[in-house]
Amino acid sequence: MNTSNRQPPAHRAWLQPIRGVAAGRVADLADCNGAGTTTCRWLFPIAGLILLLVCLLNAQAQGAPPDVLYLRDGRTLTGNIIGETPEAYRTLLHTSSSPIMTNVSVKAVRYVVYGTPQKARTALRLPETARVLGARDSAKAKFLPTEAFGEASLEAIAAARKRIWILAFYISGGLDPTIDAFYNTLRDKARSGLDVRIISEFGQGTPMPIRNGTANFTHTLLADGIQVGFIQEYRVMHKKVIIIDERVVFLGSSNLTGAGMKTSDEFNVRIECESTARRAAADFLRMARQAKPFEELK
Amino acid sequence: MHLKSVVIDERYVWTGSANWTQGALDWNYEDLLCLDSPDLARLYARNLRDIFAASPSFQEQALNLSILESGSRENTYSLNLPLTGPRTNYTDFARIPFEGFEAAGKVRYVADEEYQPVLRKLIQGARQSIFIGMYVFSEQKTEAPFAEQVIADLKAAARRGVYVYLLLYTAPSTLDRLAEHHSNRAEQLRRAGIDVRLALPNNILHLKTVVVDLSKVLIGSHNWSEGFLSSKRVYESSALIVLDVQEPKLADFLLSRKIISDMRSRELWEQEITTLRHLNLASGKVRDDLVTELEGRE
Repeated sequence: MNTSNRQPPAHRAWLQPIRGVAAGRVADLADCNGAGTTTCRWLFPIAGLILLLVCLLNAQAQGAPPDVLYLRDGRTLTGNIIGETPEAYRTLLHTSSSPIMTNVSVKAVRYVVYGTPQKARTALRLPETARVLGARDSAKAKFLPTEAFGEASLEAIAAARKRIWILAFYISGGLDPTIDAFYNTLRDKARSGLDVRIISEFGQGTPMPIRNGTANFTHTLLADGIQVGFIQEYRVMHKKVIIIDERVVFLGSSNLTGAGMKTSDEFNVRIECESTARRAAADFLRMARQAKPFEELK
Repeated sequence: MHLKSVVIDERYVWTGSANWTQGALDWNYEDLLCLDSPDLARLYARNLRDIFAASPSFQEQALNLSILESGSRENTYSLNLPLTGPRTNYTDFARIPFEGFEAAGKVRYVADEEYQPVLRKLIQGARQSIFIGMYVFSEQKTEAPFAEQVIADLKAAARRGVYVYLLLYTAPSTLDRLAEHHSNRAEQLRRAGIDVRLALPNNILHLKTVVVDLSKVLIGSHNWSEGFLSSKRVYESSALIVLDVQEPKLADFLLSRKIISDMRSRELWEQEITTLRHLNLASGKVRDDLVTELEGRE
């Protein structure tokens, strides 16, 4: 069970000064007993050159906003990363006295927060990643844990002008004021003439109490003019998507229930982007073609 | 530096042969003097101050401490994982709310079977860190070897020095099959150097989020379950967002979810989970007594 002994010993030296590079130690290179020999005639100018380069590097690195290395043991190091290898961050560490050049093993680091966005983009290959993985639509995103999702989704449907389309694994009203307000606002919007549609799940795996609750709630929603359809097939409709006015999309883990807006630990995102909203709407319409009205359900 | 001297209140001097080790204080032959002498105290203090002034700052010295090596004695699994230990607080299990936060980036709507290749490429391309919050990580049928593929990708990432934090839901009841599945995952993956953590059984951790390098986010309804593994059982929707800059709050959010504290061995984390489940069910005086008993434990 104890695997710690099998760790490669290299990690023990995870943070050692690079010999001769720290500014104060470069002079050691010129420490030579045989003064006047050929070696020393070359060594002094070379050492001088290295010293000059290090000074320039230090000056440049110290001028840049610092990078922060968050270590796995909970501490942080502040400095300037001047090179990255698969094994280590070559870092000019800021200390109370003179800066120290060190190699910080990547295995000691949790993550690095780079001093400038440009440095992060380059080091983490952000534009390349977006291109390769097909993320092309520029968007404003807002990340929403449970309560924030409740507030933001309510605010968004209240501000809707034309339409609100929803893909929801569960639909149920609740005693919690947030989810109650959400559905009340949705019903108000439908009554005032907006195009409000919901597609939900009503498969064989849906437990009987939830089926009954969904049935009752569906009638309430239909009475207000909300179009409600259900997926009833082998494949379960587990999506949680809200699309508003072909402009805003909510996606995430929250179901449209009290748990999703109040009690569970959730994470969602609000994406403001017309292209993404169009893609989500196309997905909604694909689901709509497979959905059945309530009276056709088994 | 071989002194063993203490100066107290500019009056007493404690000195002698004993180091501050268990051997010295328990079984070695040592002799010590504690002298009540302000004059001597002044001289000793001056000497200590001189030595202190000539020493490098704590920060520099601390960096040379082999913190990871000392960590390995505490941690059953990996030299590189943050330390864990027994829980000390048995009263506060409330879910921690977290404010929403905004970011800009490039988006791709990722529906159904599009998720799997995006996820694998994200993990394979990770440079520094992978933070995952997942409600379900379980594969019932083996028709698609997806879970094994993702596990291989995560292990490869950890091997090349990427920090992988995998936070899994803990079921409130042992009747839920996920309880055992996730404990199996934790055991299997912690051995491979992945920092698997289990959420408290007192809240529902319902996240389905993957954050790579604090800048590439895959978020939505896709659990890591059979449904999306085969893409034949569930309709899901997620979004890939490649941010323009890093967002450390993504790590802050995932790292601030409350977790089982003692991950040193399966026996220890299952013990803690059992205790927390008992607390979950208890109330009033029974609960108070249980808490007192737990907190008073050695």
